[in-house]
Amino acid sequence: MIYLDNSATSYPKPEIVRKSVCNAFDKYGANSGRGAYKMAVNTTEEIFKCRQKACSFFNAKSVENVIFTYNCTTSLNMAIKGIVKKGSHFIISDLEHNAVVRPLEKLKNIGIAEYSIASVQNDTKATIESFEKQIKRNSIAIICTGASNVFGIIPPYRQLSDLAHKHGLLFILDCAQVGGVIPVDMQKDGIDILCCAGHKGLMGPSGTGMMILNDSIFVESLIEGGTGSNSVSSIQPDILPDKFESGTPNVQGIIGLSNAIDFINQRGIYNIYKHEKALMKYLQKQLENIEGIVLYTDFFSNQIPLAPILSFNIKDMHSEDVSHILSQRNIATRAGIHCAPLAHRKFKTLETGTVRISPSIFTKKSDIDLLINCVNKIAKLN
Amino acid sequence: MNRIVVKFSSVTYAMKAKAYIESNGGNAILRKGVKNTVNEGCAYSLVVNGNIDKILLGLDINKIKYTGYELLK
Repeated sequence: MIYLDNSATSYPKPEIVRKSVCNAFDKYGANSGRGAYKMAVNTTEEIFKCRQKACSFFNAKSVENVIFTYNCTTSLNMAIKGIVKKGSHFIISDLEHNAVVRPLEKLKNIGIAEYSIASVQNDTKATIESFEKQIKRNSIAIICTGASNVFGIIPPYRQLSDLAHKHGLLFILDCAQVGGVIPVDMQKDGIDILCCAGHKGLMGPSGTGMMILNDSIFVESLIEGGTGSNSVSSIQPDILPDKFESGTPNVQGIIGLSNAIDFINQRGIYNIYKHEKALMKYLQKQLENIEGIVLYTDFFSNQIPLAPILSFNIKDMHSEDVSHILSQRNIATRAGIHCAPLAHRKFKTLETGTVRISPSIFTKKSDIDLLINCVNKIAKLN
Repeated sequence: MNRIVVKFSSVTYAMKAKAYIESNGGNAILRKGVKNTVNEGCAYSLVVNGNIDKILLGLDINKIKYTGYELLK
């Protein structure tokens, strides 16, 4: 199978990740942060190592600020619902995933909070102005994706964090599509809360994610329970990361993630980005030669930076039909709305969706050639 | 040179302190449930050999929160 759906989840996982997960079932089978027998301490140490690596990877302020979750959606829910107060207002971009939109819509529907949508434009200044226009007296945060999961567009998040801080707002970055592909630095980029998946660009196992807090942010916990600390008290501990990590963690997943971060560091994030971007440039160039292909972004333009994600359509065909034919040829792509109706509305693709191609470090040029060949045949038959 | 127990409210802080002490050439052993932690419930501690003032100063400078310490005989 040619797998081109790495924006949903990366596949295959690096060998070191697969092996470490299997090994963890044997070697680190105890609960973490609970017992004090040898296997429990060793397991706790492994979890801590992953926290250290993630802290360094994203240049977080402190290791305890790295909070393990189960995916990026959980992280975003924890962040949004953890900072909201009655009457709060949020500003989001018009590229956001439902992981941002739905929690906010729910808060809106139960009368807790409201939100406004700002437009990401080709011009950074215009984008900043669009966000600034939406700021109200009761605004508490700007939430922005690191890159659109459909079109790869990278909003000017560093400038948006400056804008947020200028107005006393928090800045939350959804790193689902950039973690492990594009360098993100919590200090330089001014990120107050970073939400990330572990199983996408970071190449870790499913069921892993992180919410990383910068210092001095008050976030309420969403889930309370056993943390292995201050157990006599019926009140949830206020210390990090315990406050947000009630219940047994995904030990094997986190150990896999730890090895995945090592893998990314060994390969080099710039090399990964360069490899994937070169494939998308090549794909774009080839698709441009096929009659009936509709493209939405331009990897050769310097107007707006793009993550290595390419969406396309074949004229007069639904994206699901194209993706279905490709799947019959053993090529895995993702079609439809990609849980991002805002982005599709912006690009007027809500009706047809798009066929999304998202490579990984393991994608070869020959994989893209096979895809192009198949798309060419589908377009000619249409 | 003393043998001391440094107490932490969270295993993450204990691990952070352990990493700090070991990176400075010391040795720290993670333990659970030392005396005087009964009222707090579960807690972790490190058994460390070294100069108590130096160790605690290092933890303070590195903002590694501990809840207390005691000398071991």
